[in-house]
Amino acid sequence: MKIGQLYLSPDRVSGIVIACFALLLLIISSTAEWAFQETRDGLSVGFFPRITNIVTIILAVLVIIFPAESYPEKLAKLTPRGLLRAAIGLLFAVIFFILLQRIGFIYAAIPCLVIGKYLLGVRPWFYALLYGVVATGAVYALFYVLGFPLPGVY
Amino acid sequence: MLDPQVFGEALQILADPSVWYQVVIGVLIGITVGAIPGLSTSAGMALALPATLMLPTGAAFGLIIGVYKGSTFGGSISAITFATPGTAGAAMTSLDGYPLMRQGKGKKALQTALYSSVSADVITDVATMLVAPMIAVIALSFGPGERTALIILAFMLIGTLAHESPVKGMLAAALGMVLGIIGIDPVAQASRLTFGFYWLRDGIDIIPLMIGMFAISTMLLQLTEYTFNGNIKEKASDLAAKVSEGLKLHEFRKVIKSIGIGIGIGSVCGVLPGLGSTAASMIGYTIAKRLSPNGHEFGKGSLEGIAAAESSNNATVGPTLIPLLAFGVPGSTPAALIGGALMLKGLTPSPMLFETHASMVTALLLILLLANFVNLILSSIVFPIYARVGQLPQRILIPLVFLLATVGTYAYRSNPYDVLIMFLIGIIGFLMKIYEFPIPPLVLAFILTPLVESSLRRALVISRGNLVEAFGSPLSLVMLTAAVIVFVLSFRFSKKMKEVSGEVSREPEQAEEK
Repeated sequence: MKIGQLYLSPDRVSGIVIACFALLLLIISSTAEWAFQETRDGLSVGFFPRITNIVTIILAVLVIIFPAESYPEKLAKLTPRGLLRAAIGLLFAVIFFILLQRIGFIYAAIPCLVIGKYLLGVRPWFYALLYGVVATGAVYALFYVLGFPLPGVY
Repeated sequence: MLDPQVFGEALQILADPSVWYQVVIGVLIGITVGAIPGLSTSAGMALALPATLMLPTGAAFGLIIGVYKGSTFGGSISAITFATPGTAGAAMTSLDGYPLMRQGKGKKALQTALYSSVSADVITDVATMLVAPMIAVIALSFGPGERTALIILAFMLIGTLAHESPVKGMLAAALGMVLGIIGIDPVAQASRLTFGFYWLRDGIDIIPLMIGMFAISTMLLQLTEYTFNGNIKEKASDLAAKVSEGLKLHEFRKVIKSIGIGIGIGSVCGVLPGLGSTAASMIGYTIAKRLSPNGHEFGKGSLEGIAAAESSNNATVGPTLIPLLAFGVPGSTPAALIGGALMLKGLTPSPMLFETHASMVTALLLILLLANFVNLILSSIVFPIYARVGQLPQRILIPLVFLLATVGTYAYRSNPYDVLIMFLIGIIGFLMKIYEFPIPPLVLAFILTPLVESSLRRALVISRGNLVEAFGSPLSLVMLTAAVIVFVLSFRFSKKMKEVSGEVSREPEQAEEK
C-alpha cells in the first residue's frame, strides 16, 4: 500500500475537511456576539450550534481514525474530463437561470436545451433543435397542467 | 379509531375532482421517473414538491403521493426490462425479472411485480390507516423529554442503518443538523451562522435542499460518468418482442406466500426510521428465498423472487408515514418529502395533527389507498410503453432535469437565492456521493433538527436545566438505552448487510456461469 493511500485515504480527507469546517463553526458559535445572547429558556443562542458542531467534530475524527478499507468506486472512476463536464453542466444551469430571470422561460429554455443536447452528443443539430423545442413544450404543458406559473409566462 | 364524521369530511375532500386528477398526473409522473434509471423516487418527489404549493391541499397530497406510488413501482419496469433498476428499491427485482425477460416472459414478470406491489401497498395502507391514529394517541402522552429521546433514537437509526459505515451515516446526519441550525434561533429570533448573508437569515428552505441533494447531485454525477456512444435502437427492438406472455391466476396463487413475507418485512422496515425500501427488498428477498421450497430458482427467473422483492419494497410506503404522522418524525426520505408537502400547506407533522386536522390526515391516508388503484390501472395500460422510457438517453434526460430543477426551485417563491442554495447543495450532494456518504441521513436530520432543538429546549426549561430530570422518565431512559444499543449493534448489522448484498449480487453471476 502506498503511503499516500494509507495516510490520505478519501475518508480521511473528507473527515479532515468536515472537522475543519465544524471547528470553524464551533469557533464562530463560541465567539460571535449573537452566541452569547440569552434566551427565554435560559440558554444562549450559541448553545445548540455548539453542541451540533462538537458532535460533528467527534464523528469526523472517528472517520479519520477508522477510515473505510475500500476506496470509493465513484471517486476512483472520476476523471478530470468528467469533472469538467459536470462543471460545464452546472455553468449551463446557471446561465439558464440568469436568462430565465431576464427573458422568461420559453426564450431561455429553448436555446439552453438545444445547445445542452448538442454538446451532449445529439446529432444532427436538427434533432437537438427538435428535442429542445419538444422538451420545452412538454415542460410548459406539465407546469400548465399542475397550475404552476412559469417565470416570464403569463 | 376512525371517527365517522371525520371520515365523512375526508371523503368530501376526496370528492374534489382535482384530487383525482392530480393523483393520475402524479402516478404517471412517478412511473416515468421510476422507469428512468438515474432518477430516484426522492428526486421525482423533490421536483414535484414546489408544484404542491399552488394546489389545494387535497390535490397537493394527490400529486406527491401519486409520484411516490408510481415511482416505487416504476423502478421495477427498467429493472425487469434492462436489468437496470430505475430506483434503488427495485434492485432485487432485476435478479429474477431480467432472466424472465430474456426467456420471453417479460409481461409475466412485469405483471407479477405490479400485482405484488399493489397487493402489498393496499394491505399496508389499510394497516397504516388503522394503526397511525392509535399510535398518535400514545404519542400525545409524550412530554418534551420523551420526544427528544425519541428523536435521538430516530437520529441513531437513520444515521447508523442507512449506510455500510455507521460512523459515516452519523456524520452525514450531523452535517444535516449543521445545515438545519443555520438561520433564526427559534426562541430568541437572533440569526445564527449566517456568515453575514441576509438571505441565510431564514435558514435553508426544504425545496432547494431536496432538489439540490437529489436531482442536481445525481445529474452532476451522471455528467462525470457520461459516455458519448451507445446504441439504443437495437436494444429497443429486441425487447419489444419479449414483452409477451402474461401472468396466470394459478401462478399468482403460488407467489402469495412471498407477498405475505414481503408485507411483514416491508412493514417493519417502513416503520423503523432509516431502513427504507432498499433494505426491505433485500431482507424480504433473502428470507423468502430461505423459506421457499423453490429457493434454488431464485436469481434464475423466479416469480416468487419478484413478488418478495416488490412486495417488501412497496410495503414500506404506508408504514413509513406512521412515525411522521404519529410522532412528527419522518423515518425515510419520501416521508420527509411528504412531511415537507404537509408543512407547505401549514400542517406541521405532530401527534396533534390527528386532533387539529383529523379530516386532512384521514384524506391523506385515503389518497394513499386511492393511489394504489390508479397505479394498478395506469401501470397495466402503460407499462409496455414505459418499458421503453427506461431507454431515454442521458443526453436528453440530463439537460431536462437541470431545467426542471432550476425552474421548479425559482418559480416556487421567486427567490434567486433559493437557486443559489440549490446549486451549492447539489455540489455538496455530489461530493457526498463520490466520497460514499449517504444522503438520506443528512436530509432527515435537516428536517428533524428544529424538532429536536425545540423539544430539548422545552425539556430543559421544564426541568430548570436539570438533565437527569429532563430525561429521567422510564420511557426516555428506554429510548436513550435503545439508541445506544442501536449504535453498538449497527456495526454488526452493517457487516451482515454487506454479506447479504454480496451474496445476492454474486448469484446472477453464478447462474450465468452455470
